[in-house]
Amino acid sequence: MPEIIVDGRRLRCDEGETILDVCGRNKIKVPTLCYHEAVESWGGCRLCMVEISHPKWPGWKDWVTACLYPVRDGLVVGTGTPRVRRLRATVLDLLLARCPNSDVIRSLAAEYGIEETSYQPREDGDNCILCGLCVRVCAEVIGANAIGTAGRGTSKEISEPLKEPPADCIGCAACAYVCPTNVIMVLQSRTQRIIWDRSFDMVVCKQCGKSHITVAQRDWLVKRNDLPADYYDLCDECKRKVVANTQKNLASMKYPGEDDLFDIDYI
Amino acid sequence: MRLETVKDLEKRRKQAIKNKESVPNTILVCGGTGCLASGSAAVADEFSKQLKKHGIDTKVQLQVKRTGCHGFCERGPIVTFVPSGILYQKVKPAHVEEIVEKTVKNGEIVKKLVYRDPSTKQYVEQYSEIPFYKHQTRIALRNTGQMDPTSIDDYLARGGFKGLAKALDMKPEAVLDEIEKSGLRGRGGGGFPTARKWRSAINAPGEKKYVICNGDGGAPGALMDRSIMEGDPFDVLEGMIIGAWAIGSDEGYIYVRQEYPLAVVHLRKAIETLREVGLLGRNILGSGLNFDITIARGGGAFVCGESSALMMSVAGKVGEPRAKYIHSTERGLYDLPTVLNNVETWVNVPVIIENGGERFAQCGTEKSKGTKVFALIGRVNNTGLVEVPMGVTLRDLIFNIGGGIQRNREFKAVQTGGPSGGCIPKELLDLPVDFDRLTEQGSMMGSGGMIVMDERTCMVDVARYFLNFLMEESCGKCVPCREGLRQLKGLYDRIVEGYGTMEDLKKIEWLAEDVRIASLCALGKSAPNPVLSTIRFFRDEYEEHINLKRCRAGVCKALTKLVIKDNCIACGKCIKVCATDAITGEKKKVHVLDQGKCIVCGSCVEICPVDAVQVEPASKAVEVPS
Amino acid sequence: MKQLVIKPQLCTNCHICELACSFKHSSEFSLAHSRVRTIYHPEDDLTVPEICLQCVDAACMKSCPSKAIYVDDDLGCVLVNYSRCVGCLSCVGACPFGNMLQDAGKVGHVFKCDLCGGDPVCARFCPTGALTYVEIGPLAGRQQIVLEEEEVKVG
Repeated sequence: MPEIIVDGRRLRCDEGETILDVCGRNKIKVPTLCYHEAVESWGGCRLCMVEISHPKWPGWKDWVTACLYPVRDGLVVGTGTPRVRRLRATVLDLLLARCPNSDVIRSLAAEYGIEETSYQPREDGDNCILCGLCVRVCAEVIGANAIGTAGRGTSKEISEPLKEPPADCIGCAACAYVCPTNVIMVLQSRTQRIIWDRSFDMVVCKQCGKSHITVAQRDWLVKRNDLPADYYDLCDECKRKVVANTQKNLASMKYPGEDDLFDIDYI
Repeated sequence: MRLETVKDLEKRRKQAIKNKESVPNTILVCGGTGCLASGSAAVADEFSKQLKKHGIDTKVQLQVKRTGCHGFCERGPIVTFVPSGILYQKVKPAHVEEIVEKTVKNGEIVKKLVYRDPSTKQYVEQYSEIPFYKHQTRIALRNTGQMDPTSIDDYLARGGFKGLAKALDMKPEAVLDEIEKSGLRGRGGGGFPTARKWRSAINAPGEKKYVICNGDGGAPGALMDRSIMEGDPFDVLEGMIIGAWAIGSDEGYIYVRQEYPLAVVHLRKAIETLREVGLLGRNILGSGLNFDITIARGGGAFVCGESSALMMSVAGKVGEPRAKYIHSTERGLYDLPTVLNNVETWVNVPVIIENGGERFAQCGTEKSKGTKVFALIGRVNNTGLVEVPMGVTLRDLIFNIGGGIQRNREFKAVQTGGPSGGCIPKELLDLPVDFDRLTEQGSMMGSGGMIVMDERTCMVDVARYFLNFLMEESCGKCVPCREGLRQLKGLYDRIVEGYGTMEDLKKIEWLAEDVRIASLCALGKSAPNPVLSTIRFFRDEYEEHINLKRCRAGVCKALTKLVIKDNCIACGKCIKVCATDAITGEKKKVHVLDQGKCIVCGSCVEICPVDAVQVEPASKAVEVPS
Repeated sequence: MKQLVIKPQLCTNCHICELACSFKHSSEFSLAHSRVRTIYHPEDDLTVPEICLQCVDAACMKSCPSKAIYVDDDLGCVLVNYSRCVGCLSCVGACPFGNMLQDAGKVGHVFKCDLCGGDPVCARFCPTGALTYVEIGPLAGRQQIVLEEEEVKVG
C-alpha cells in the first residue's frame, strides 16, 4: 500500500490511484475545471497542478496535474506552494482573457488574486473554456458520440460533426449539465427540446401531459436497459399517484367484521 | 521468389553484387524532393534520351539511376558518376548532351557544372573532396543518394539486411544488449536512450506490442526524415524488423506526414517488395518472427509528431497528446505497449547490430554516441543535409561544412532544434553539438535543424515566427499552450509594430516560464525556448524595439525604412525585383525608392550587388519612459 | 438496521414531514424540495406519504449510465453521488414508483430520500407516528410481499 505525503500529511493510497483521488478521499481541496468523476481524467485545464518531489531524487521537483499523476510510495505533494498558486493564477488569468464574461471564471480567478485579466481579452467569444467535458460525457457516459471538437489550437471549438444538427444526439442534455460555464443552450417547452440546433419531441405523460425526457432518450433507455416500451409513459408525479392509490386501497381494506383498518405498515 | 533462409538472402545478395559489378559505370541523378523541385526528373529523362542517341547501352555499359536525396539540396539537381566520383551540380536538361559527349564518352570535365568553393574559388571535381561532403560521416545517410531507393537488389548490394540476418540469429535479449552498448539515443528530439525504451516495452505486461516509426518530422527546415524515407526506405524497414524481433512485436506502423507523398510511394514499394520476398510477413528468414508494417498517413498537423498524439492519430482519433506520466511503452497505441522511434533512430539499428554496439559507441561524445544528421539551412553558403559525429562544434558545422555565411556577412546566431529550440549566439560557437550541451544553454539539438542567421535577421522576429508557428500547430487541448501562445504572440506583435513596452517584455518572460511548466506536452513546454533564449542572448535588440522603436536588422516592417545610398551603381537589379514598383531609376543615376509604395520586403537589399540599399529606422529614435 | 415505516392510516395530511425534509436539505420551506410527498385522497379522506423505498435491486441504479447511484449498505440507503451524476434524468423515469425527484430550478439536478444520513427528520417530526424510523426485524419481509402482489398499473 503506497503512502504519499500531501501538504505534510501522510496519506495511505491504493495502487493505481491518482493524487487527486487521494486528495478527494481526504477532503483536501484541489481546484479542477475539466475533471469529472464519470469520465476519464483529461488533463486539459491544468488547474489541478500540484508540486511534487521525492526523497529518492533530492533536488528534483516537478509540477504535474493531480488528476492524472499516479501515486507512488514516498511521493511528496504540495497543493498550495507559491509556484503552484502562480501556475493556477496564470491558467485562470488566461481563461479570463478567453472568457471575460464568464462569472464562473471570474470568481475562480478572484480566488487567486486576478480581478482583471493581465492579457488581451478575446472579443465576441462565448464562455466555452474547451474543457471537453461535454464531448467526453457524450462519448464515455452516454455513448452517443454526438458532438466533438472541430479545428485546432486557437480555432478549436466544440462542434457537431460537420456543424450539422447531430444525428446521434439523444437530447439528454447531459452535456449542458456538466458544462462548468453553462455554455450549451437548451430550449425547453413541454413538448419540445431544442439542443445543438436539433429539435427533439418530449415524452409526454399519458395522464397529466408533463415531460422530462426526449423520445430519443426514452428509446435509448428502453433499448439499453431492455425495458417494456410503455415504461416511461407516466411521469413521476402520476406514478406516485398510482402507488398512493394502491396503498390507499390496501390501507382502507377492512377485516371482515372489524371496524378497524388493517394495520398495514409500508416500509 | 521468397527468401526462406539467410542462405537464400546471401545468394540473392551475391547475384545483386555480380549484376552491379557487371555494369562498369553508373550515373546517379538525385531524385530527392529538393532536386525534383529543381527539375531533376527532366534531367534523368534527358540522360536516357542522350545515351540512346549516342548508342550507349544502358543495360551493359552504363546505368542511370534515380537516387534519393543527396543532401546538397541548394546545388541541385545533383548528378554523380560511379566509379569516377565526379559530381556535377545545378545540372539542367540542356547540359546533358554536353555531359554525355564530354564526360561519358571522353572522360572530360564540364567545368561550368563543377562545384566551386565560394571562399577559395577553387573547383572541386571529386564529390568526396567537396568540403560539404568531406567532413561528413554518413551512417544514417549511408545509402541515401547512392542507390535506387526502390530496388532491393541495390540495397542488398550495398550490404543491406546483414544486420537483420545477424539479429535473427541472436536472442532478442542479445539484440537489446547491443543497442544498449551502442548508447543509441532517440534522434527525433527527445534523445531518450533507445535501449531503455525497448526494455520497458519488453517488460510491460501483455502479449501484443506495437512498433512505430515516427515519420512526421514537421519542424520547418527539418528535411532529414523525409530524405531518409525517400532515399533509403529498406533501411527504415530493416531497423523496424530488428526492433520487432527484440521487443516481441508482430505489428508495426510507419506514420508519414501528409506532406511527404514521395516518401509514401517509396516506402509502400519497399514494403510490397519485402512482403514478396518474405522479409515481412510470417516466419521471417525462418526465425519464427511474424511481423508486418502498415503505413499510416498524417493529416497535416505538426502536433502529430508528438508520440502520444501520433498514436491517437493512428487509431483514428483526434491528434491530441496525453500526459506521459504513464509511458507509451506501457500504454501506447490502443493502450498497449508501444515502441515509437524516429526514422533516423531506426536506420541506425541495422548498423549497430551488423558491426556491434561497441564499435558504434566509438563515435560521438561520452553521453551522445554515434552521428547525427543536421539540416543546415539559412544564411549559410552550403545548405543541405549533413551527417557528422556528435561532438562536432557549431563552428565546424557552419564554417567548415557549411562554408561560412553568405555574402561574407557576419554570423549572428544559429537556431537549433526547430521551433522547440533556442538561438545560440557567436560567443558559444565552439559548443560541441550533442544532446545535452545545447540543452544546457536553453536550446536543444531537437531533430537536427540548424538555421544560420546573419545581421539581417531580427531576433525578435525569429521568436515571433516560431511562436506563430507553434500557436497555429497547437492542438488546443491545454490552456497554457492554446491561450498562452496566443497571448505571447500578441505581445510580440505589439513589440514588432512599435507599440511594445518594457511591461510587455516582463509579461512575456513571466508567461513564458509558466507556459513551460504548465503545458501538457513538449510542443507547449518547449515553445518558450526561442522566446527565452533570444531574450537571454539578444536582450538589447528587444530593448531597441521597445525603447528606440528600432529594428537593427531591418526586418520589422513597421520600424524600418529602406534607403538607397549614393554608392548605387544603377544596375537596375532592384527595379526588376521590386514587387510594388517602388524603385525607379535610369542608367548612371542613383536609383530612387518611393517610401509610399515600399512594403519593406527587403528583396532589393538582398539583390543589390554593392549593398547600396540600407536599412534605417522608420522614425526618429524616441525615448519611451518604461 | 433501522427502516422508515409508513402507516398511511395515521397520516393527517399536516405536511410537517415535507416541510422538515425540505428545510433540512435546502434551508427552505418548500414542498417542491421535499423528498417525501403526501398524496391526499378526498374520496376516502386518506393521505398516503410517499417516499423512496430504498429498493434492494434499484431500477434507478440500473438505469444510470454513469453509475452515479449506489447503495450504502450500512444505512440500507440508495444514494446519488453528485460528483458522478451527469444530469441526464434517466433515473427519474426509471423509478417505478416515481420517487426520484427533479429540481425545478436547476435542470438536470435530481434528488431523493437519503434518510438524512441516519436520522430522518420526517420521522422525527411526524406528530402522529405515520412516519417512524425503527429497528425492523420480522416485518422486513412483508413489504416485499405486499408490493409484489400489487403491481403498479399504468393508466
